[in-house]
Amino acid sequence: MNIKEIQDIINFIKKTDLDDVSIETENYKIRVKKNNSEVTQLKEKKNIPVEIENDETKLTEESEIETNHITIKSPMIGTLYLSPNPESEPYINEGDTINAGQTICIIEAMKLFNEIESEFSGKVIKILIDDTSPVEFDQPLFIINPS
Amino acid sequence: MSNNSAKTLFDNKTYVFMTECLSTNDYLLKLLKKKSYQEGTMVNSSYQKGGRGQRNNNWLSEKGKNLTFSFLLEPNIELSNQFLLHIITSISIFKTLLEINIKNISIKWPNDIYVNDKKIAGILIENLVYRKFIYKSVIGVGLNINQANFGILNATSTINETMKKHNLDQILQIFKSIFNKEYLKLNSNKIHEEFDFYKKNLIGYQIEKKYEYNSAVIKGKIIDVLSDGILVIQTKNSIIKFNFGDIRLV
Repeated sequence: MNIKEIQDIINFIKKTDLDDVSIETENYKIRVKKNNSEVTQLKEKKNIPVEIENDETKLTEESEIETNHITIKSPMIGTLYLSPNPESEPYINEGDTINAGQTICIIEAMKLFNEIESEFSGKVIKILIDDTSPVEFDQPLFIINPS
Repeated sequence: MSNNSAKTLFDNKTYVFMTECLSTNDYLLKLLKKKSYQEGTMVNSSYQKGGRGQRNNNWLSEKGKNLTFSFLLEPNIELSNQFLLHIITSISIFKTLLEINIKNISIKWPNDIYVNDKKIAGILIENLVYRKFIYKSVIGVGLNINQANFGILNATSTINETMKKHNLDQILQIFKSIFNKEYLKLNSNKIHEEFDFYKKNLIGYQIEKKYEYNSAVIKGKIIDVLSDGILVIQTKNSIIKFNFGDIRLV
């Protein structure tokens, strides 16, 4: 199941009166809770490859048993930077372990540069956006496996 | 932000002066990562070598002739209100220039200060954001004072506008006292007045100008700036809203 499908499910559930929805099929089990928009829980079953895709990349990775991933979404509209400046290393890489309060990206709009700090500690599973790309409000940016 | 702390925003706070510095914003941000500093902490440099008007867009400054400084705020405002930081900072520069008898001052959306259609000052704001709250903000100001020659840049300075040399420190003191007052308005009803002041002095407000946006040229007039900073331009056929800095006056 890909990010787009997860988003579609979330958007669909948003429009309903349901607060907590679990969907289970052969390959996946997804649980979406309302009133907790920051957190989407995705539980993958044992040894099923997960496909996460965005516009350019398609990658398959083995998921761990009962992973509990968190999607960090954009708090604002703007241009996203993955590093403090073009010459520097990115703030975070896939596979890194990060701490709550650690800067994960910069989002700029109208010449206001915002260093966005992570609310969660954990491992960076996937970076969903490219450096210097425009982002929308609530657009998924990173997938974190919280520790 | 308590009224008490804002009244004495810059008094008895850490003040760092450097004859040379790559970027006062970067320096202050680095200080913050090492230990905590009170709001009002200021880094001032008489020569900023790597100052950024914007990413990759270097601010050209002659040694010892201009004001380039950054200071720390703890505004605790929601991220959605971030544009208010531009409002109070650009108005503070505007009023500082008024105080030294400069005329024809205007503001170019979102945050440049112009005199007689030439740029005299720029602002760079970098916020630290946690849970959609701006808990720290580094405000960087570059103000051209005694530099007379800007090459091909469409820029000016207080010396070019008044034919008078100014004392950098004196102008910084004027700015500080004005900013103190503006900062008090940040979380009060008076911020509406400041918004009106900002709009009224905006280049192109209610006046038709040409803009370049995504390599197309748009003709229209600014009719509003929304509370989140979005620029509203009315063209012949439609109303367009901009929230990115990539719209340029032609």
